[in-house]
Amino acid sequence: MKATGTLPQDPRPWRQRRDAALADTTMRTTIGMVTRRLHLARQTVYQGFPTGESDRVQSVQDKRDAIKNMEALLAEFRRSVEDHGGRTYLARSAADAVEIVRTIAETAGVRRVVKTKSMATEEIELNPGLIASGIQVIETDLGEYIIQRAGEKPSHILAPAAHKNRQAVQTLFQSDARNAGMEPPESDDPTVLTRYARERMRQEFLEADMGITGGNFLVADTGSVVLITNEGNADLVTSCPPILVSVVGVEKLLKDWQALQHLIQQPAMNGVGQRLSSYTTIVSGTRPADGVEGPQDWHVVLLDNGRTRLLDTRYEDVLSCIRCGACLNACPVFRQIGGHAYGSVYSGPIGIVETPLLTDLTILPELPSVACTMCHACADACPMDINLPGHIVALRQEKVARHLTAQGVDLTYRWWARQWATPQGYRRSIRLARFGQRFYRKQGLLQSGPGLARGWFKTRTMPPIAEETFGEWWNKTRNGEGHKYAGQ
Amino acid sequence: MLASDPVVREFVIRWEAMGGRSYLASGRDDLLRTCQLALRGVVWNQPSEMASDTVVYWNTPDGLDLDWVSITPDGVAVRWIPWTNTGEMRQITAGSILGITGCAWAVSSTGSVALYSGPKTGLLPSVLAPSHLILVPREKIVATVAEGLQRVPRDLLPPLVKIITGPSMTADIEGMLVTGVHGPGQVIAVIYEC
Repeated sequence: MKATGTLPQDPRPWRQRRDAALADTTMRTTIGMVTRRLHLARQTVYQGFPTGESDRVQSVQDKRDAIKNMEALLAEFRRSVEDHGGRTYLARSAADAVEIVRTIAETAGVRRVVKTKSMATEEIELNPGLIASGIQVIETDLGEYIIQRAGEKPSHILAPAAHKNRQAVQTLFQSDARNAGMEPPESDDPTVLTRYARERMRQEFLEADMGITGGNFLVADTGSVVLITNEGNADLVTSCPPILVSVVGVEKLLKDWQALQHLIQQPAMNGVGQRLSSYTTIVSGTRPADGVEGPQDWHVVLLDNGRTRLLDTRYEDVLSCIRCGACLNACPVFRQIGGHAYGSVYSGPIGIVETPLLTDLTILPELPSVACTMCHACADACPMDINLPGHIVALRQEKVARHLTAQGVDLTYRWWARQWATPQGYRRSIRLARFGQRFYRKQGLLQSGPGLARGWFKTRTMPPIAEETFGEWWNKTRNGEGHKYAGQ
Repeated sequence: MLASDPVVREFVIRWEAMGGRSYLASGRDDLLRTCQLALRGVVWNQPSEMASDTVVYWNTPDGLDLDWVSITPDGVAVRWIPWTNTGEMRQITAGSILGITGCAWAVSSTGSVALYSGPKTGLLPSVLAPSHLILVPREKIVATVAEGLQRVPRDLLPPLVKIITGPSMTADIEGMLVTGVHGPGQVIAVIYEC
């Protein structure tokens, strides 16, 4: 049960990912604007809405309880879905999940798939897996449709195409229109571009053989998959194609309908600052024999991929994440570098924690060290009270314990910590630095330093250490009196 | 009076804040006139490239069994198709200008309406047409989403339940809000009491 998960990984090293992100001004402008707006909206939505907060508090408890009971709830959910005519599968790994979906599609002779946005399917890299079998896969969330045309990955959980401006989107849609034999959008006005996307995707919805969704929640006692969107694409994907496959992480389980009542508004409140998103769709069964609406065949693929490994560990609360994106919007690092720099599907503070945890630090172990300033804004923002900063510190410690940090870094920090653990050591280091700084001074400022410090100075300067520090002055003028450490 | 009913007022404020439009109607005659008014608005304001005349409606008691065909207002040419969960209904609905549905319940604190899929109550009219008109009887409005969800029959769950809170929208291009991306760009609630 407790296998390590796998996640897609950007082959570029951190420095390259970081520098590429910092050089992308379109992305940085849009991400900066979007994250600030959503962060503010989230803060105001709770005002004058007391049940929003009491439901949130109850939901945290519901989620924690569901995690504790995961195995039993999983069995109950599967029973309930199968009682309503659906089929369920448990995928231990990403590869298993892709294989399950591919088999369902191939058995039914599926040629064309319409998809809603789903982090779980990004995580298992489902689209390339299906396309390799000759199946056409169309992402229908507008942002996902755009980046699928560009052959890129999402840069924000809620705003996947935040790094594309309107001109770039128009260019993509022009060539898309040529391929589809449609009139291209006549301008780069977002309204015009959106209308083009509506028309382009409408026939795909009506003709698709299969729909694929993720899921925001799974309700164990009723066997329901709950989907939340603002665009309405999940409604089309769940209503139109004859086959529906939902790929959902096992951590999305909720005990019962009551728990759903508490939690249902939280993704919208914390993600976009609305009391509810435009569309909440609850799938609990199949269409009647002669019906035209809803799935004839309904499959739910429950994805583990490293999740159950976290049960009964200090990191267990990470499984409460509802993917609202509030921690991304609050994070000062995310606001600067956007999602791509994190190197896998999950970005922002939750990505820093979840990427190494799901994969047992086999990929992107640098994240907890490089992409966090320890400001704790994410802890404040997280509606599920996940201890994100605490986990980031714990992961840093775990890296040191498992010798995943460079030896030079390790030794430098150990030496530094030992020096500054005592007043004498601190004073000694000041004297040493005062002597050494003469080699790095320029125009009255420290511009570089020896060894590891050189990297720190790459983007910063620092005032030099004074010829006489305050402590030294005090001891000299007070004759060492009145100070606890005087004369030591 | 509906207009002074605090529950109705909150529903209308929330519904319109999310981008929906609303009408109030008291009594059967008023409801009839209000529906005619709303219908004119939709038909006369439809973009020229649509040029459809089909309206798909739920033939259920939600609309007090209004005979839609006979109430078609002057100056509006409409082909009325009652929803059935069979045959070519999907293509017909995809080509329609308006879907008219009732609702299972509505929520004042969020400005939402809920629909269940069933033999006579399809969800496609609420998502395929560019406009969606929902008939909301006053007594179906509850205060919270939780109260509404409690009304869903757990022993006989509808295969699809949908809660609608405003029009279909996206902000995926430069963070600019655009309505009508996949579902209707216009959602109209007619709240009535008889």
